[in-house]
Amino acid sequence: MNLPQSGSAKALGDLRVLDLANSAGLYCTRLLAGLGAEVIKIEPPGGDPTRHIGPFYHGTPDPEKSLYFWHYNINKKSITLNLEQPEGAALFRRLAAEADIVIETFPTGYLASLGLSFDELHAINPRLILTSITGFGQTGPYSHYKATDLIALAMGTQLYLCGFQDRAPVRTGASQGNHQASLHASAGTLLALFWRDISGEGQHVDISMQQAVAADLQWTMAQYELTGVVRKREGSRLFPCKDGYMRYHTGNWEGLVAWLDSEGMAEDLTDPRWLEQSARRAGQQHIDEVLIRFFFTHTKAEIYQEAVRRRIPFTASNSAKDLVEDPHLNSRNFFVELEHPELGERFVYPGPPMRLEDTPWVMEHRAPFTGEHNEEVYLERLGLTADRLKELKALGAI
Amino acid sequence: METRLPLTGVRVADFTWIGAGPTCTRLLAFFGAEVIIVESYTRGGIRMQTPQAKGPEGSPNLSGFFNNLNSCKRSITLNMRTPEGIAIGRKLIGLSDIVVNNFAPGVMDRWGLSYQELRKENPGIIMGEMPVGGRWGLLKNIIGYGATVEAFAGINELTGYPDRPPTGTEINYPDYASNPYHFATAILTALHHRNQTGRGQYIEVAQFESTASVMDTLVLDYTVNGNIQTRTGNHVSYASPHAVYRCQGDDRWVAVAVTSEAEWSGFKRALGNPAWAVDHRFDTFEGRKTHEEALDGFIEGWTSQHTPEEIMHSLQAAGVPAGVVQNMEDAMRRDPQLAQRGFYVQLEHPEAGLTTYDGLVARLSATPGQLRAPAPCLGEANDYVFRELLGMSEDEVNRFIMQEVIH
Repeated sequence: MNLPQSGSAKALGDLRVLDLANSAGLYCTRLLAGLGAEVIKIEPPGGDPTRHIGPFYHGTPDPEKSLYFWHYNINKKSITLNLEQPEGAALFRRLAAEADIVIETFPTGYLASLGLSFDELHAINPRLILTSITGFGQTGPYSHYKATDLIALAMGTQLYLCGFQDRAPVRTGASQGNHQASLHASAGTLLALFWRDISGEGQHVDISMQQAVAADLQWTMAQYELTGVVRKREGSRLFPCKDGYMRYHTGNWEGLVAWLDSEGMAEDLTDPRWLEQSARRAGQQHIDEVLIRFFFTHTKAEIYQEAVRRRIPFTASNSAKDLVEDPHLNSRNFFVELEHPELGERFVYPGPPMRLEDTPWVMEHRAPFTGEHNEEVYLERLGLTADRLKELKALGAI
Repeated sequence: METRLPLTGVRVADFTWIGAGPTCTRLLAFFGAEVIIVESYTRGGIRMQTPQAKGPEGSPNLSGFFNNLNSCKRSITLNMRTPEGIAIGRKLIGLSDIVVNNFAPGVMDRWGLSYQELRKENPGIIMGEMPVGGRWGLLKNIIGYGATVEAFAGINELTGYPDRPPTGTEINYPDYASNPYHFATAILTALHHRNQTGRGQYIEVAQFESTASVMDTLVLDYTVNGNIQTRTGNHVSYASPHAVYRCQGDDRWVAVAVTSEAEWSGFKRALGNPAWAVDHRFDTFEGRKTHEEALDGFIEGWTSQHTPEEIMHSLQAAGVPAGVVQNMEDAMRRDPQLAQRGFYVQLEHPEAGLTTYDGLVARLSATPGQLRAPAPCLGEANDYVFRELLGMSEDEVNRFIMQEVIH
């Protein structure tokens, strides 16, 4: 099953999104773009700061070759615009008048200081949905505090849960604070969209990165409230094997023992006393030691293959290579190539996080160059003349 | 003042259980959807897991874990292992806008409740499933849990210290972040599409794919550069200092992220411009990155003399991102921001008593979501669903109870 050609139904194809997001909101705008919305990335003249985040194509910093920017900005258009210039703010108002959604991550009060508050935008376009992602939300004693991915994980309490007892708590890799903020933002934005479908009314969606993290903690809150126990980091639950690490979940105990036994490595785990879950909990350390001895005789791939066959929930701690070469993901065409004509190459990107059968995920083109769509948007769409565009550039508004 | 809930009138037939599905449907319930959880005495689930509130011995209604994930929902008991149960399930789905489940792929099909079947009677039905690997593909029947999905996606490999084994979140993180919120995004997208066209559709969020999608540049760095990323502790390639530092007190820490030269100046000022900070090694980002170990050492010399709260406030006052590494006690008892935002809500539950619920994040100005009801007791909506919605007589209901169909 391949991803569709452009021209198939796009779920959000009727929507225009203005993207003013930094790292905290980029995954949100990426989702909207992947669901078919037209997303226009608005960058300061000279380019968005996120173009300086690496890694870079072949290791050389270049604002058009940031793999970070490439990943988060597939499908989007780019215009340059300086909101702090009065002419720039005026152009933004014109764009907002015809947009459906604005996603922004500015400090609280910044847009208002430019005459672009929600109330002002709402007066121009009562159907507009404005989603604001900040560290701690639009209100409250910390609403002016700055946050990054790390700070959100810290204040949202997820950071405290990760790592080794003899070291500092350690952040979850791949910017999960930013991702959680963006995921909650996309759901919140689409809730506002549903309301607009019914009522015609836009609204302001306020997302706190801290709350996004604090909401996603399994039973940690209930444990503290009901038992007083403060959950904390407990080290690594992954087990070394011949060429890496494995993660296992304790389902299918009997199947697991049968497997070890078939290779003569079950030791005393075949004893029926281990069938009691309470016994296994008490004897966890011994069980772990037996498993480690077993794991050491096999590679990640061997263990995973056999575990799948025997329906025992083990996975390898996958590296990038393991993930990209995973046969199952590839059998589903999860990875998608995008052309980079400027480099004469095509690169493999991660594909659909969700599969809607009638309105599939869209992967149409690479991230835009800085201001790549200035002419399309300013000249064709807004009707500025080429001279006026030059003038505005000279003024630093575009 | 009447509060408008945007999803009022939207009904969800919820066959999900444990973590990811309920977290998704909880969001819909917060915003007004009528979410009917289909439970059964013949299925397990988390109602009996710890932690438990105090209450009647053996009650299925005291689980803190279950309750927090299921506020604002209704509950029925229905034995889907009987043909009568399946028939009733089909009727309920016929009255619903959305049906979701996390059974193994093929289970709904075997019950005659595939999307193709359901949409014959209900063309607007939106059906969503969250299998681990997906309903098709090489390993379509693979089983897994949040922890194994986390490892599969590469999160573990990127979490921890370079000189130690990989570690992880230990909270089955994909079940509370990537899976449920991709699922919610997809369902809400399908609702919008249905608003435009009148048609529902089938949605699959494969947990492996959902979680492999939140891996930042893990994939591109490999496919473009051949680089296999690995864990770097709390350090990152784009900011320095960027770490977690020990503070005064027992296991107290502060997180600091200096992301610009302006913030570096603010940071130095907040520390009182100590002599070590004007060392030219630290003047630029590149320099700070090169000498990061020494830099961290100096900073921790300072942080260890102060509480994390003091440090956070003084750094934030100087424009520097900083935050206490809060634990759950900090968050629930001492955090004035979460308190002002009303993040933790106390609700009176008929058996568990006054207990805390969280989870509402998106704050919508015109149609705010609400934690307006505690979690449902097992089967509390049986009368409402079977008698009122499905029009069964009292005799029918009693018969089904005796036959362990309503069970």
